[in-house]
Amino acid sequence: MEKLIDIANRAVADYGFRQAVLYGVADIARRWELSEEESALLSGPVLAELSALPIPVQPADIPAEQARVAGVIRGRIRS
Amino acid sequence: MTTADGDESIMNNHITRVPSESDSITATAESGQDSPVLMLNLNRYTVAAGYPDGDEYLTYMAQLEESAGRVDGKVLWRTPAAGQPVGGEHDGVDEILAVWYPSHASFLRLREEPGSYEMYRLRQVCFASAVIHRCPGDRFPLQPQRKWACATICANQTHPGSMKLTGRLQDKVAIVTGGASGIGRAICQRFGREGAKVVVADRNIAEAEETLTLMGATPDNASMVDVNISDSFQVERMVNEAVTQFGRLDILINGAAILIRTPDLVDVDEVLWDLTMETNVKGVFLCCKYAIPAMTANGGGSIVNISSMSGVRGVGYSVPYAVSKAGVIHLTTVAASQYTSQGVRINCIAPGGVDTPQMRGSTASAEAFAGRNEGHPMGRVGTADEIANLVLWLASDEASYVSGSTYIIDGGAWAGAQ
Repeated sequence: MEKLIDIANRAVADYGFRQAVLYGVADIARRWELSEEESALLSGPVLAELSALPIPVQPADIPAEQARVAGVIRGRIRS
Repeated sequence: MTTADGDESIMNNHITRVPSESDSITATAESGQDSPVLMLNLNRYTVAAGYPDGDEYLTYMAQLEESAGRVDGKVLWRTPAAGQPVGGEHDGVDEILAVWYPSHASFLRLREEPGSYEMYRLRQVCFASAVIHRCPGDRFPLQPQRKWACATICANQTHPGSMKLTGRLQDKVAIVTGGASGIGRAICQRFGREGAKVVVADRNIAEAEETLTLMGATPDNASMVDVNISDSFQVERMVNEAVTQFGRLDILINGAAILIRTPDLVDVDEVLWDLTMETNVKGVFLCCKYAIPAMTANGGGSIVNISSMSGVRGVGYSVPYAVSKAGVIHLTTVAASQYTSQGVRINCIAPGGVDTPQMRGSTASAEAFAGRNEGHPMGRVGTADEIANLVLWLASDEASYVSGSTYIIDGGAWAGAQ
């Protein structure tokens, strides 16, 4: 889960990395050695969250957005 | 070439001239595969076509508005209510009120008629120097499930940013990687206007489709391909598809790249280094590897690699990006030394700051982006169209004696910093 949150945090903070995730999610999952469950989460709900972010996320908003997306990840994995 | 009555300059599959009072201008609605299709016609040529339903209708309107904007025009529309379904053969067409060109104090207006819509003049009809795409068989070849839209009114030739069509790439076949946005998109549009057949290559398919729409593409002059340029198999397929569809490959523009901000070198993650290098350097290598044989098989071609000033100056906010772009410059030099003698010219450009989605997204904040203009010799960053102009020249036969070179295009910023 922490690796997935790390990816999400980077993608929130950096538009270039976000693009790498949005258009190469399988490649990112492979490079970060995500589990099947984590890969499914990344390519599903996490991707949806990332694609809805503003470009770029303003610096002041980054911590809150990161916390929100991390919350989505934690909620999904718990359930 | 000129027609018998001399009022049309037909060149490069385009017609450039000012419509006269004797022109027949009509708009008709036809039943498409999935929805009604709006066709605007000038005499026997289709000026524009679109699917007037839902989101596609809105996309079409935005496209037309953008084109009209180039002649200081404004398209006046009554947009459908949000979420309102459009059904029936003619629904949606009567949403168009007028096309207004304040610089010429004239506008066109649509009047509803049963089964068709007559466009009539309220004052002088003038499209400025209208550029009208000539459609095969005088009828737009509609494709199911596709958002093809025919080229529309554009390019007052005296308006800044607009260009007179000269057919500088007439019938050349070009692959543009990274064609879905920014500089790549501007190159696709410019190449299309200059008569090239363009393959828009990108991983962002939705935006690549938008590029095709903005180009006014038809299946005869453009296509798109979903490609990960760091994957050898996909790159080979991309080149093969271009040759299969258009018969040859003349031009390759290596524009696809990623820019991921990093801390200073000792804190850079290895995975980000690898990710950047695989896309920005290996990707360019693979595209050249498969494109060059296709070019030499047909007598030669031109490759333009898009580097960056980050690759020249060794500064920037991403270590792997800067190094990868330096690699692109040297790859250009090495490749040119090997293939210029076989008729393939290989050049590189190194843009400075350019107003693109990537640059805006990679700049920390809107304020920081605005700050980029301050201190610049020209008081602004460049536009994607300005970069596309240089790429066009390098790709064209006008640069026939140019190979192995890297051109800085930064509005004098580096010179000013010396």
